[in-house]
Amino acid sequence: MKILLLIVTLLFQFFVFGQENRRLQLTPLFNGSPLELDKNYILEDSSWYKFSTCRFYLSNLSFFKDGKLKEKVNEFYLFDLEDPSSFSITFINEDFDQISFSIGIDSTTNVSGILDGTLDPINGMYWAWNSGYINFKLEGTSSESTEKNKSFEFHLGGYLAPYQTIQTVSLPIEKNSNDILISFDLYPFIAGVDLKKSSNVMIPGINAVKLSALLPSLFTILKDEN
Amino acid sequence: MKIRILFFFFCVISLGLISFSLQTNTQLIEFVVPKKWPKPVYNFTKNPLTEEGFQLGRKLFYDPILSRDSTIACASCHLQYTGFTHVDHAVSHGIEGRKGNRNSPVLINLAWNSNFHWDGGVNNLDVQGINPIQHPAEMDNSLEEAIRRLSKSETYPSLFKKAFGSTEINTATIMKALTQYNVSLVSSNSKYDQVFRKEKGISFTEQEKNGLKIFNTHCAACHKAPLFTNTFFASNGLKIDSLLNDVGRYSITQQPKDSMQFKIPTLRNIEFTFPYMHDGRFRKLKDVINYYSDGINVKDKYLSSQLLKPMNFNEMQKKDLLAFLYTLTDKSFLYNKRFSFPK
Repeated sequence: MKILLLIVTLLFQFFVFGQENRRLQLTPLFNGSPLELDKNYILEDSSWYKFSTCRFYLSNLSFFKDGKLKEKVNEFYLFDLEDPSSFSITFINEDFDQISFSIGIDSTTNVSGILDGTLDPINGMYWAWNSGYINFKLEGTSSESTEKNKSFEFHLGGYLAPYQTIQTVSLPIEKNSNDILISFDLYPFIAGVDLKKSSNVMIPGINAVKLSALLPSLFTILKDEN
Repeated sequence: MKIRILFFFFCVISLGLISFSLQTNTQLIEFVVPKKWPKPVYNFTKNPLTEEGFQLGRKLFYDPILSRDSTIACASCHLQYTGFTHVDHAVSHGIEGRKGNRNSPVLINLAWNSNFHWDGGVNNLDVQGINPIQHPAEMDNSLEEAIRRLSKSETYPSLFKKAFGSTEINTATIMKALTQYNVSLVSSNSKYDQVFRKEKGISFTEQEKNGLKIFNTHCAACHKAPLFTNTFFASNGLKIDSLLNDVGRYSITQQPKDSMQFKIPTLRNIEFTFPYMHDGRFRKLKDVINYYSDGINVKDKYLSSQLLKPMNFNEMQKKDLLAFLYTLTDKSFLYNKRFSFPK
C-alpha cells in the first residue's frame, strides 16, 4: 500500500510540476568576493564601499535553442540581497543553449494598476508619485560619496520614452547541467558610476538610463567546475 | 481501494479550490455612462464594481485609520460639498498641520482620466491612493502599518471578505476598494447637462447663453465638454511661486517641453471648488476670469498657444462667463447621500 501511495504522490507531482525542476542560481559578488550586506569592501585604490540595500526585478526569463525561443516564464522575480531564498529561481526546461532575462519591469506592467505578490508596492520597489517600478535599487555608503554622511542611493527605473530603463541580459549556456550558475558582481556598476559626481539617482530620466545600461554587464555565467 | 479514496480526496480538494475561485456573493453594480459621453478610460474588468467594494471604499475614504496618527482621512482634503476638494485652502495640510505644495484636486468624473495629480504622475486610478497614505505632508503612513491596522480592526476583515472574498487585506484590495468609490463619483446633472438633454422647463438665461458663447470661443478648447477638460496638460502662464518652485509635468517626464505644464482641471462644480489653480493662488472665480482676461503675459515662453491672443473681456462679458460657469454646478452630486459619510 505504501508503494501505491508513493506512486500516487509521484504521479501527482508529475502532474503539477511537470518535469524535473532545475534552478537558476545567482551568486552575488563584489569584485569577485562574496557580496554581503554592510560588509566593508576596500579596493586597491583604498576607496571603500558598504552596501545596505541591493534589490532588483528579474523578469521575462526566456529559454532559447538554436536561436529560437522555446519558453518564456511569465513571472516577476525580486532579488533581495537580504533574502538568500531570492537568489535562486526554479524552472522546468530540458533543452536550451541560451537564456535571456530582463532587469526591471516592462512598460505594460508599469501601467497595469495595482498588482500583488512581488509587484506589490509594499515591497518598496515602487514610486507612487510617478507611478512605476524601481527596477534596481542599490544603497550604501562609500569613501567616494560627496554626501555628508557618505551615503549613496541609486533607485533606477522609468518606462516612459525616451527614458526607458529596462535591460536585457542574454547568456549562452554551454553545458546542460542541472543548475545554471550566474554570477552577479556589483563591481562593474560601481566602477561605471562616478560617485564623486553623482551619489544619488532617485528619479526616472537620462541619468537613470545611463546607469541602467551598466546593469547587463553585472551578470556572467559561472563556469561549472564539475 | 486506497487509491480510490485518495482519488476521491484529490477530487474534493480540486473542487474546493475551483469553487473558492468562483465564489461571487457580491452584488455587481453597473457603471452608467451618461448619454453621449465618451467611453470611460478606467478598466472595470480588472476591478468590477460591486456594492460591497463600493461601500468598503466609501468607509475607507472617510476613515482616518489610514493616517499615521489617525487624524486625517481622504475626506479631510476631499470634501463632498465642495466637489471633493479642500475648500478655502490654497494647499492642503496633512497630519500635524504639515503643508503640501499643491491645491488638492477635485474628485469628479475620474473614470474618464488616464492620469492623476496636477503633474499627471500617477498612471492608473488603482495606484493613486498609495500617494496620500505615504506622503509625509499628507497621511505619513506606511502601507504595512495601514494593512496591519485594518487587519486587526473588528470591522474591516469581514468587509474585505464580503468585497473581495478573503479576510486577508493587502495593498491591492485596499486600493481597489478606494477606486470603486472614487470612480463612482460622477457628476453629470448640472443645469448645463439638463439644458443639453433638453429637459422640460430648463433653459439658459440670456446671460448664461452669452456666457456659453464666450466660453466656446475662449475656453472650450482646453475645458472641453462634457468633461470640461480635454484631460491634457498646458501652461496658462502663471508665474512660478518662488517658494514652491513647482515646475509641473516636467518633474515627471524630465522633458523641457513639459515645463510649467499642469493638468487642465475639469470646470464641473467650479462654483464651489475654490481656491483655484494648482497652487490655489486665486480665491475667487472672478480672480481667475480677470487673470485670463487681462493678466496673462503673452511673452511667457511656456504659455499655451491657445492663450496667445489676449481676451480682454469687458465687465459685462466677465459676468456672462461667470453666469455660465455657475451652470456647471451639480447639487445632486454635491449632496448625493450615496457618496456622503457612511452612517
